[in-house]
Amino acid sequence: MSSPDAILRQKVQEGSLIESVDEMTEEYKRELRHIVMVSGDTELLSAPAYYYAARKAPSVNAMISAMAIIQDEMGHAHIAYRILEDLGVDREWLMFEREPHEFRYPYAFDIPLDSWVELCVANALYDQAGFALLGDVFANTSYGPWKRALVKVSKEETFHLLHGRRWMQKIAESGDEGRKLVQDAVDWMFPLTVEWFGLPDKLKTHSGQLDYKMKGLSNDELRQVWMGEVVPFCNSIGMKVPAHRNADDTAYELEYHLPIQFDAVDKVWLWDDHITWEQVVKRWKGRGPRNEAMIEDIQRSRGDFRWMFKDL
Amino acid sequence: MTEFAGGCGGPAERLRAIQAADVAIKIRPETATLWEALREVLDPEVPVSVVDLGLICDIRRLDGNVEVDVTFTSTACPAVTIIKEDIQRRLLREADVATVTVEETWEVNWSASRISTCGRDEMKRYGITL
Repeated sequence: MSSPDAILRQKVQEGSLIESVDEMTEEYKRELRHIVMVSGDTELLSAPAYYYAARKAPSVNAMISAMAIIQDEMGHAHIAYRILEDLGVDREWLMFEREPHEFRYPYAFDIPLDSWVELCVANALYDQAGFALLGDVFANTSYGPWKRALVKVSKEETFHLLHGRRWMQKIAESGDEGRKLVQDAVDWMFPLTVEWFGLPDKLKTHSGQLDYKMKGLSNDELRQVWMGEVVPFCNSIGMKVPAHRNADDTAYELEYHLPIQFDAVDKVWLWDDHITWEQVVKRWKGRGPRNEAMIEDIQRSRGDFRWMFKDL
Repeated sequence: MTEFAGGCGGPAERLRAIQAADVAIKIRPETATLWEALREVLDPEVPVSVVDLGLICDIRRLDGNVEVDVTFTSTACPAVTIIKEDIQRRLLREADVATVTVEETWEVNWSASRISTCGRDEMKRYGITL
């Protein structure tokens, strides 16, 4: 006789949506908590990562656009954390009681964005990764409340992408200096976003997230979706990226051995320094240069401003 | 000036639909093709045209020179620059249009009542009801 968990797995694979905690098994709930937490943390940490660079906006209108994007990201984090609350996770703990290294978000956000150009390239590359991941969740997830909440998220992310692309094009077309600034940012951010999608499928023997249909595509498939958007766009504005269509024209292939070593301080990839995925995972878990400062900025509001909210 | 009303369908009908539920938008006859062209310029978040969202307030044309008055859904709209650029680019593709000046106007108080019937249908299709 099938276990309740096996029955649930079959049910969601056949297209049923889970609408409440009562319908979940503990295993389903654990996997859902994990994927939604990664999603929420990613949205939350993009806010300080983008904010530091947004302060270098070249005009008031540009600043307004960047701040609107940051506000959107905070809203997206709120959606994820609200879902986690339904799954029994305490929001205060999520925001304020975790240690910096306990937040689960892509390593890319730990690398400082130091200029307006880098912010715009992040909007075009990082947000495209988020768009690929959440687009897949929206199309395939078995958790109904998350699926519906993503209608709003995808609309807003569309604007972030357009914002990044438009500025990349504008700066790249402004002359040699602008083109070099965009290319320099692409050079270190492209491989970081390739890593964003996680371990290659051949190293992942099992995915609970796919078994429970929390998402529909594997890491490598999502990487392809992302490259399918980013590579043609970058090429169209004259940017070089280390990826191209394969000989059969069936997929994109990287022009470097994955994974490779990254110098997080100088923001440079050491193309010939081949490392293992274990070393990459160790780098991810050790977090990057800006992890602690960003979490401190987020959590500072609890200590500094809590008195304002004590009666609310 | 012509005042249009009601319905969606072919180009002529769609032009008439530019009139919003509560707010009549007047279209100068010599600019009718320009209004239709701007139906290809979509809002960066919700894929509904700037015409159907009621953002275009007036288009004036003198020979090859075109002036567009555009408003936004809020003074802090983050997409002001993108929308203005898109309007300019699209109209410059029209025959006999040599220059396009896009001006922001706040004399119009934008509200959802400026959204055309077509725009409302489109938004509903994307999961947004008004």
